[in-house]
Amino acid sequence: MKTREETSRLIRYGMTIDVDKCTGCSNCAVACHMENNVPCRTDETDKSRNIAWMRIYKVTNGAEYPLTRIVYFPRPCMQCDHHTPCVSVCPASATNYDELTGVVDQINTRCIGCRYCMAACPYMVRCFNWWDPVWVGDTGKQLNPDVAPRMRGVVEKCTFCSHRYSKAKNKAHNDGRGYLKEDEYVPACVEACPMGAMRFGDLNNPEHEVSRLIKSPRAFRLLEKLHTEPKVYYLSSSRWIRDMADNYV
Amino acid sequence: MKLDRRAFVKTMAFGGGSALGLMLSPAPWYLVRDLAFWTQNWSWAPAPEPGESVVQHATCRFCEGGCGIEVRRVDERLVHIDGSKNHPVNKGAICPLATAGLQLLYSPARLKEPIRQIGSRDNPEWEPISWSQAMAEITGRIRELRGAGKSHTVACIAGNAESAANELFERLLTAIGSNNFVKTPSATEAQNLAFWLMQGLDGNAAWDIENTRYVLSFGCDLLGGWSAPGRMQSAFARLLDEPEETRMQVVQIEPNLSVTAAKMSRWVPIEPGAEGALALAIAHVLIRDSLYDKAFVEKHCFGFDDWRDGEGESHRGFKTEVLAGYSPKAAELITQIPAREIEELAYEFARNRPSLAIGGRGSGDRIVDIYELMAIHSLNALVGNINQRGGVLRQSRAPISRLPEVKPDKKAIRGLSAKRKDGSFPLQTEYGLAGLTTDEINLLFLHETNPYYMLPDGKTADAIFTDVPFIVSFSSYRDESSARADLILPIAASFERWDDHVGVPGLQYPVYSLNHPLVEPAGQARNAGDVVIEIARQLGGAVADSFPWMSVTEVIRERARGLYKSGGGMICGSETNGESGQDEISGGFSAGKYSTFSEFWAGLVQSGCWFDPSYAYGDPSRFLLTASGKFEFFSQTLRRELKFAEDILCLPHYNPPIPNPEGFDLTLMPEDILSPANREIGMPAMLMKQLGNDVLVKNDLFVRMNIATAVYHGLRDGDSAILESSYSKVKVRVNTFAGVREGVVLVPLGFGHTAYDQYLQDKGINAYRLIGAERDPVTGLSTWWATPGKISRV
Amino acid sequence: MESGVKKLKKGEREFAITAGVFFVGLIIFLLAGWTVLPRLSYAEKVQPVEFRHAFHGEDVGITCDTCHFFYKDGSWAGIPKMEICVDCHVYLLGQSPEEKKFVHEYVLKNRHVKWGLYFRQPECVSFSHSSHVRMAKVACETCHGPQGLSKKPTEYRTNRITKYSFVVYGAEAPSNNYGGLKKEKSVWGTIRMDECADCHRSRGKSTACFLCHK
Repeated sequence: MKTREETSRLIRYGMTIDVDKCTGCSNCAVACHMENNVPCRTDETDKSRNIAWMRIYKVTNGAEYPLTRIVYFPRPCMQCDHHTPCVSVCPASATNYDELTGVVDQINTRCIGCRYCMAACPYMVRCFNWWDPVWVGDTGKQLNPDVAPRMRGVVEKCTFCSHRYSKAKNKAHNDGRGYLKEDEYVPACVEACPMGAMRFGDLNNPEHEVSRLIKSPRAFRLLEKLHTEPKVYYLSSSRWIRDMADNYV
Repeated sequence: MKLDRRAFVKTMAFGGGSALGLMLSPAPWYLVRDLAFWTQNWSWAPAPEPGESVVQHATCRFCEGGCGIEVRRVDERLVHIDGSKNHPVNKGAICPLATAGLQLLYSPARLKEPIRQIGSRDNPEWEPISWSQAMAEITGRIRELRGAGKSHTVACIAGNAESAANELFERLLTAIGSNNFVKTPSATEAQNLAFWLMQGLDGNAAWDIENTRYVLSFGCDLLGGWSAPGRMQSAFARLLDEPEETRMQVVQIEPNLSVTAAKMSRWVPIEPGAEGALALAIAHVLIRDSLYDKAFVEKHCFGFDDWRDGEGESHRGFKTEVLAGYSPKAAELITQIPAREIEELAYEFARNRPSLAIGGRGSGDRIVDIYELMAIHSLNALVGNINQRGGVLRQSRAPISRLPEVKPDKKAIRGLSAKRKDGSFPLQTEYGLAGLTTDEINLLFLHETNPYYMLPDGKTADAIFTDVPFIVSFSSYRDESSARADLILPIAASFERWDDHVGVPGLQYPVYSLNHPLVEPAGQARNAGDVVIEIARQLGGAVADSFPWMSVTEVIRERARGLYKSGGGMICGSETNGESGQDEISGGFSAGKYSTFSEFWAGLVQSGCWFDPSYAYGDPSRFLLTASGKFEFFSQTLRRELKFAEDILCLPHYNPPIPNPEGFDLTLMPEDILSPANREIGMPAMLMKQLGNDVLVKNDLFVRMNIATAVYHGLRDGDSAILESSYSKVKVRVNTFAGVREGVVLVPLGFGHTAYDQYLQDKGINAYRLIGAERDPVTGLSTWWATPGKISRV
Repeated sequence: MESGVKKLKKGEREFAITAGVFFVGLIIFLLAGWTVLPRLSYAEKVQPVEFRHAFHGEDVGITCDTCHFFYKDGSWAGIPKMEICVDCHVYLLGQSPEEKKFVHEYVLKNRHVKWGLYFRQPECVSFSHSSHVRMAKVACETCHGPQGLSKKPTEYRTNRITKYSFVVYGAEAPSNNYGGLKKEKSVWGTIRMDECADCHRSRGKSTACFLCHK
C-alpha cells in the first residue's frame, strides 16, 4: 500500500456536490446519459433494472408538515480511492483503478456480466444491461462517438467521463502540452449543473477550489464508515443532512 | 457400406491423424485467438460514426425563455447540448428539456412527410401525400372561402413565440381577410394584464431579480419555469455563492413544499388560494405602521386615499379598504399564517429594500383572479420600487424592423371587418384562446401548438376539434392536436431551420435570438415560414403581393436589419475576451463594431443573439401611463372599461373561495415536475427516465398528499385510487409526502399523452384536463390553479 | 505356429494401413492448417478505387498533412473525406483510368468512396493520434509501415471473424500468414492490444485500460 506521501504527488480527480444548492432538476443526469449513450427503454420505472449512471435521490428529514424539508443527492460513481470494492472483486479486470488519476473505469467489452461488482458496490452505482440497448429510428443519430455503446449482459457505470479526460489530453497533446489546464477536463454532469452546485478537479492540487471545499466543515461523504475513501464529496450546512448521509441514502 | 470394426478403426485413425495434424498447425490457436478478439470487439453493437466535432451557438426554442445553448455537431449529426456560458440570459444554465433536446430532434414522433386524414377524427387513418398536393388542398380551400365571402372563417392558433414564422402566419391571415390569429396563452399574460390595469402599460412586465435584496414570492415556481427558467436559475446560482448574511432573501409563500420552497431562504406555508389576502395583510401592516414609501405614494399613486371623481361622488381608497378588512388577525383566519409572522414579513419587506413582490403560481399563469396579482403588485408600489433598481420594470422591445404593411384586397377588407372569434371580453385584446367561438371557423391552422393536450380549458379544446371542419396542423411531432387534424404538414424542428424570437419573459432589456439550420431537416420537413410564403404566392393577386420574399430567411434578415439600424446593443461574444469592441462585463461585441449590415448579420448568425443590456432605471413616471398618469391602486381602467359601479371591484381585494360542491373535500393542485418539459412539447424519453417511483410506476401516475389526508380517505402509500374533479375522473396511485398540506392533492403535469412516441404514450393521466380552467369573470383570462376534487379507493 | 504368423502378418498389415491412414490424415490437415486455412480465414479485398500514395506524395509532391490532418480539437481526421479529394479532382487531372473512374463514378455522382480501412480499431478503442504523433513523436511508419510509399494499389486481407486486416507490401505475402504474432517488415495492419501494450511498456508509459478504451 502506498503512503499518503507517495500518492499526494499524483492527480486525484474528485467532485464536490453542494446539496444546499442542488434543486434536483436532474439536468446532470440527463446530460450524463446523453453524453454517455445511456439507452432509454419504453418503461423505465423499474429502478432495479434500468440503467442510470447518475441517480438523484430525494431525501426528507422525516418531520411532519410544515417542518418537512427535502434535499436531493445526485449520485454518480463515488470513485472509491481505497480498496475500491468493485475493482477488488472483478474477476475479469473489466474495472480498474487508475493510479495516475484515481479514476475507476469500466471496460465494457471485457465485462463477463457476473455482477459481482454490483453486489460489492456499497453505493449501488452499477447497472446491468438486462437487454440490448435499442435506438429506435433516428434516435441513434444522437450517439456520442467518444463513448462506445454497450450490449446486453455487461455492467456499466459512471466513469467520471474518462473519455473527456482523453479528449482534453488529446487537445493538450495537440497543442504540445503534456499537462492539462485547470478545468480543461470536466465531466458532463458538472458542466451541465445550472446551479453551479457541482465542482470537479484535482483533490491533490491545493490551488484548486475542490481541494479547498473538501476541507470545509460542510463537506462529508456517503458511508464514510466503510473507509473506501470516495472521491465524491457532498457539501451542506445543515446538520440533519450531514448526519443522514453517513448512515443511509 | 457396412461399417465393420476395421473400417471403424481406420476412420478413427484418420480422424486422430487429422486432429493431430491440425493441432500441430497454428490454425486452431489462431482460431481461438480470433474468437477471443471477436468476443471483445462487439462488431454487432452500434458504433457511432466519428467525425469533425464542432460546437455551434444556438438559442433553445423549446420554451420562450431564450437560453443560449452550445450544440456539438459531429459531421452531420448533433450529439450534445450544453448551456452557453457567456450568453446574457442564462449564463450557462439550462433545463433538462434543453439538455435532452436532441431526443426531440431525432424523436420517433417526428413527422417526415405530409399526411392526410382519410378516416375520421375518432378513428384516424392516414395517407401520405406530396407537398404540392397538400398546398393545392390548402390554397383551394382558402380560395373557396374567399370566393364565398367567408375569409373571416379562417383562423390560426399559433404557439406563443414572437417569431418571423408566426408573423408570417398572422400576415397571411390578414392578407386573405381574417383577423383570427390567436396565440396559445402564455405564462406572462396575466402578469401583463395586472401591469396594464395598475400602470397603464401595454407591454411585458420585467423583474430585476438580480439586483433585489428581498423577494416575496407568492407561489412562483422560481426554480422550475417561472418567467424565464434559465435566467432565474443562473440568478439563483450566483445568489447561493454569496455569503449567507448578505445574500438576497427569498420568501416562498406556498401551501406545499415545492423544490422552490425547499431551496429558498424561507418557506411560509399558506392556505391554498389565500395569497391575495396575505399580500393585503402585509399592505395593512406597511400602511398601519407607516413603513411604506410616502413620497412615492403621494407623488406617483392614485386611489391610495379616498377620492372624489368629477361628479363629486366619493370613492373608497386602497388605504381604507386595506386597513378595514385585512388586519393580520383577520388574515390569520384566511391564510392560516400566524399574525406575528405576517407582521414580521411586512417589516422585513419594508426594511430590506429594494424588495420585490411577485405572483403567479407555477410558471406564472396560475392565478385565483386578477385581484390577487393586483394585491401583490400593490406591495411593489408601497415600497416605491417601480422602475427602480431591483424592482418592477418594463421590458424594452428589440428594435426589429417592421415588415411593410399588408395591402388587403376587397375580399380581405370585407373579411377583416368581421368581429374576432375570440374577443368576448372587453379587456381582451390579443389573448383569446379561452374564449374562442369555434362554430363559425371553417379552416384552422395550428402552428407549433398542442391545444388539445395543454389547454386547461377542456371545453374549448374539445370544441375546436369537433366543430372545425378542416384543420391543418403545422407540427414537427405527432402530437395530440395533430392526431386530430385533417392534414399534417411536417415542420423543420429546432436546429433544422431558420428561426428567430424576440424578447425573454420577465427580462427588462431587449434580446433577439436567431437560429440557423445546423442539420438538414428530417425527411420532407420544411420551414413553416417558407410554406406560408409559398401558400401566399400560390394564391396570387394581392395576397402574393404582400409576400415579396422567396424564403423566411429573407424575412428574418429584414427583421434583423432594424437591430443594425438602431446602432445600439451588442452581439453575444464567444470566449475571445479583449478583442476590439468587446464589452468587458457581458463579453458581447458592440453592434457599432460592424461597418456593414452583412458583417453584422454574419456575426449575428454565428452567435445567435443580439441584446442591449442598458436599462434606464429611475423615473417611474415614464412607466405610469394610466389615465391619471399614476400608479392606480384604484384601477380607473376597470371602472371605465367594465363600468364597475362598486368601488371594491376596482381595488385589489380578496375573494373568498366558492364553497366546494357536496362531496368534493379536496383541493387538487397541479404539480410541476421537470418543468418546462411538462407543457406542450412532450417529454423526451431521457426525462421520463429520470422520474422517480414516487411519480410513475409502469403506466400509473402517483398523486401526492399528506399522510393525514390519505388516512382520512382510507388510503395508504401506493394504493390505487379514483381521483375525481368536476372535469374528469381518473385512476391514479397515492404517494404520501409530508410536505403536502392537508386536504391538498398534487397532480403532476406533463403526463397522459395519447400521441407522440412509445416512450410517452399512455403514461399517467393529463392533469391539465383534470384541473380544468374557469374563465375569470373580470378579465376573461383562463384561470386555473386548483379545483375541488374527491378521492376514493379502487 | 504358421497360422499364428499369418495372423500376425495380417495384423501387421492392418496396423500399417491404419498407421498409414493416420499419417495421411495428419499430413493433409497439417498442410491444410499451414497453407489452406490461413487463406480461408481471411477475405481478400481490393480498394474500390486504385489510389496510389507514392504517386500523390512523390510524383505530385503533396505533403501528407494535406489530406491527413488534425481537427482543431486535436482529433484525427483519418481517411480524407470526399471534399478533400474534390479540392483537386473537380475534373480529370490525368489520363489514368482509375482517376477517370473516380471522377465519373464518385465525384460527378456525388457519391462517397467506401474506402477499405485496414487500420481501423474496433469501437471500444479510442486511439489518440495527437498523443502519439504530436506528443510522443512516434513516426507514422512505426504503426503504418511504408503505407505512404506504396506504389501498388493496396489489396488487403480481412479476418472473417475479427475483421482485423493486414496489407502486404513488397514481396508476395507468405501463404502461411495469419496476421501472425510478430509483424514482418512487409506485413502491416490493425494494431492489436498486445502490440499497443508492448510498446507502452517498453516506453514506460501507463497501460491503464481507460487510456485507450472507451
